Amino acid sequence: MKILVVDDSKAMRMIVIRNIRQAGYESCEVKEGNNGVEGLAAVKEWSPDLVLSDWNMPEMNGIQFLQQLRAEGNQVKFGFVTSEGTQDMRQLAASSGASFLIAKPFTVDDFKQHLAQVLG
Amino acid sequence: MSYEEQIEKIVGDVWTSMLGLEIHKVSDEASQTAPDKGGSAFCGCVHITGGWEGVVALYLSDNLASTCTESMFALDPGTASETELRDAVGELTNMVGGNFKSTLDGACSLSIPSVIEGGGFQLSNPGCSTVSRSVFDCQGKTMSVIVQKKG
Repeated sequence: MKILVVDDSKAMRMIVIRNIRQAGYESCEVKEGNNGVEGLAAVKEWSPDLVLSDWNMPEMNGIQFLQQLRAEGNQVKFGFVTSEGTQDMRQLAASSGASFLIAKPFTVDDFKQHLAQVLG
Repeated sequence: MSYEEQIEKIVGDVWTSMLGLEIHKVSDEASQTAPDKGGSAFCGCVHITGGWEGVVALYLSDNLASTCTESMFALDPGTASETELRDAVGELTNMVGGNFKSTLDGACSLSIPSVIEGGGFQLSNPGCSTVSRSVFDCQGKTMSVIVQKKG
């Protein structure tokens, strides 16, 4: 099981990874990226099972990252972990191909629920 | 809900869920020596544009910035690097600002956070006026959260 975590904050990447482990995915491999550009490269090179991405990032934001993946025909499972959880953004995320959006602040249970739905 | 009430709820949720730290609002009297009034501090700032335009700024005392950073990075006390401090303050500002933005009417965008550190600085946002100021205490360490609106 391979999960790519993309966020321009190293602190947030650490918290997300901690929550992935606490949600029961202790043995999965995790790689990190700073923004959508790095995320795109990592998806192509590493083929993760799931991408967890922030929305607001420099260089290429999360929604641009997702839209680029889908435009290239890549259907990797994708979820947002973001401080911006308005209804409009959730709808945009879903229509762009995201499986879920976890809003910050979050709990381990949020990760358990959403990761179980896409990873089993 | 007023801006102050929104900020109080958001800060409480963020500090409890993400940091595992208790935080509470302090009285106006106690807030006169808060980090936004001078002294050394870390200040994180995000801009909101669109249907509502303004700024959300967090001023953390140096010792609170350290405590929050140590919690986020799971560090031993006193070991946070400057880079880690800035990252943590930026992310906390992103979360508070982002959640505040979610309470606003109309389509809005949130900037990437900026972080200022040191003493004797003043953050000015031309065209904006303060619509909310709340001061918080976390383990005896203080934080000010200022909301400024354009116009």
